[in-house]
Amino acid sequence: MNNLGTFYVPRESWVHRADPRVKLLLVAALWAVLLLRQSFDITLAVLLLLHALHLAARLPRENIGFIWKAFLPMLILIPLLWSVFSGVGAPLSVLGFLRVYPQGAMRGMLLALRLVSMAFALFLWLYTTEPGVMLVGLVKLNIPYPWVLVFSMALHYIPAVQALYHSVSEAQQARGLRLEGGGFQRLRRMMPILVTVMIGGLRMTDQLTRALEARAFGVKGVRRTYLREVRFRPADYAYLAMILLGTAALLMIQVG
Amino acid sequence: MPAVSLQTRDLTFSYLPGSPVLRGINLEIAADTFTAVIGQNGSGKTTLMKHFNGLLRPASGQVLVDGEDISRQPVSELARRVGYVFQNPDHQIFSASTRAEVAFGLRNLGLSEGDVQARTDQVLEEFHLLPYAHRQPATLSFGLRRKVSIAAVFAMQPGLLILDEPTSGLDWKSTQELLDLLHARNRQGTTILLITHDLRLVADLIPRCLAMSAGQVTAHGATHEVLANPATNGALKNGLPPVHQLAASLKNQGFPANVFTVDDFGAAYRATSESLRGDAA
Repeated sequence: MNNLGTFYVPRESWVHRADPRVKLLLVAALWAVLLLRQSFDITLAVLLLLHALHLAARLPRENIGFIWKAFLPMLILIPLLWSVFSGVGAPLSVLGFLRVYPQGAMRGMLLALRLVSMAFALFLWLYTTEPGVMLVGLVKLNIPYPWVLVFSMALHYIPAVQALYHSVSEAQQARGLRLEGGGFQRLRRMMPILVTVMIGGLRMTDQLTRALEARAFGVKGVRRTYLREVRFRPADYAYLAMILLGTAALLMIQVG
Repeated sequence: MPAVSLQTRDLTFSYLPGSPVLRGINLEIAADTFTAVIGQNGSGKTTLMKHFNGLLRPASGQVLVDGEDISRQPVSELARRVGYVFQNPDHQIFSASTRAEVAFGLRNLGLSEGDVQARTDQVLEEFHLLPYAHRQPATLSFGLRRKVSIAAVFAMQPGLLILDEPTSGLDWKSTQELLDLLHARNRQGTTILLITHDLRLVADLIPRCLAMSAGQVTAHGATHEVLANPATNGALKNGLPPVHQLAASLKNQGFPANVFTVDDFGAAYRATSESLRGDAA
């Protein structure tokens, strides 16, 4: 993630140049495939394709690593929980008292990988689409501007809140706050950080609301114009066709 | 807490690979000194200061606090000796009352309840915060929140106190009051490092100065010498106090280059007038 308060990573690539609506369609198509086809082969194929697209977009390896790191707990926890509680398939007895379900663990792993793939698809759009262009793209899809603004601000504020959390954590540790330990004890120790971030978040929201109002946001009967324009280029029609054909193929293909 | 000395040896650091923010800093800050840290935005001031309480660790080189390498000491442990006041007071205020906010760090140090109360009362009085002792600090004005954040670190009585732009957002009177408190603490034996962009404040009230540019220390020593140093003077030219610029424009009338305060200007004016009178006679 860059430090400018957005997920966008500026690079010169065909993925970046593609129309934001086409990229959004790609996200929707891949999500549909991942939700409708519960197959390891298809999930791995999608994951591979998404890694190829991230590399084609010349995104730094750290950005790919960021997604894997963020989902690592899920990749461990979901198969673990499914192996114990799912009741899928024949159980194996471990240590005489514990029943584990290998098939359940596999099912859990598939679920976790599908979630990771969905995140990769979403992040491809976020990493490669400039916020202004993203906003205009969504408006062109006839989504009301206030909704689009709320969405883009929410995205914008995830890194901002993350940065706030980091600064607050530093400030409290500099006053002797110890964060070692685990579980409930750690949560209790983190209260000075969490409360400060919450107050900071509320303050940020309040200031943002006032700043928007002070700049005439929400005035009735005004037709907005946009600095950035998005237009379909011939390449975008080609991408569109490829996405539709590819999605249809992935939805219909029979795999073992 | 006795005053703390600092040393760095070939200290380098970068947030991103290939973009060094600190480039081989060798520095000695003696105990008991009061030093302003100046330099343009992005020169590495805050990054350097965060190495002194362990919030950042060197990519290479060493940081020594009282001659001891601190690379393995956790931030919470260093907090006993090194106090750090952050630029934004809202990054630390969370308690339900100003009193509890000030007491937070003291309890982290494991002080007895009696000591916590005594030190809290003393600092609230020093900072004129007693009327706000039971108010929620998050609801106070920005200037008061700034005071609370400084008071909370003051109360911990660290041997080294680092303040990151503590006077931004304060009026001149509050700034002078704060500087009075810092000087008093410095006289009692606390080493102080204060990051600021206010060169008038530096010239008027802070005896020593450390100038940084592009991740390196360009000058370090007595404030007037550092401000007169061509490397510092050139880089910070437009930020120097107006009285310096006035004196520079009167160079042909015999005004010296090292005029940074109104007192300096008065002395230079008297000297120039006497010399002119002497010439006329």
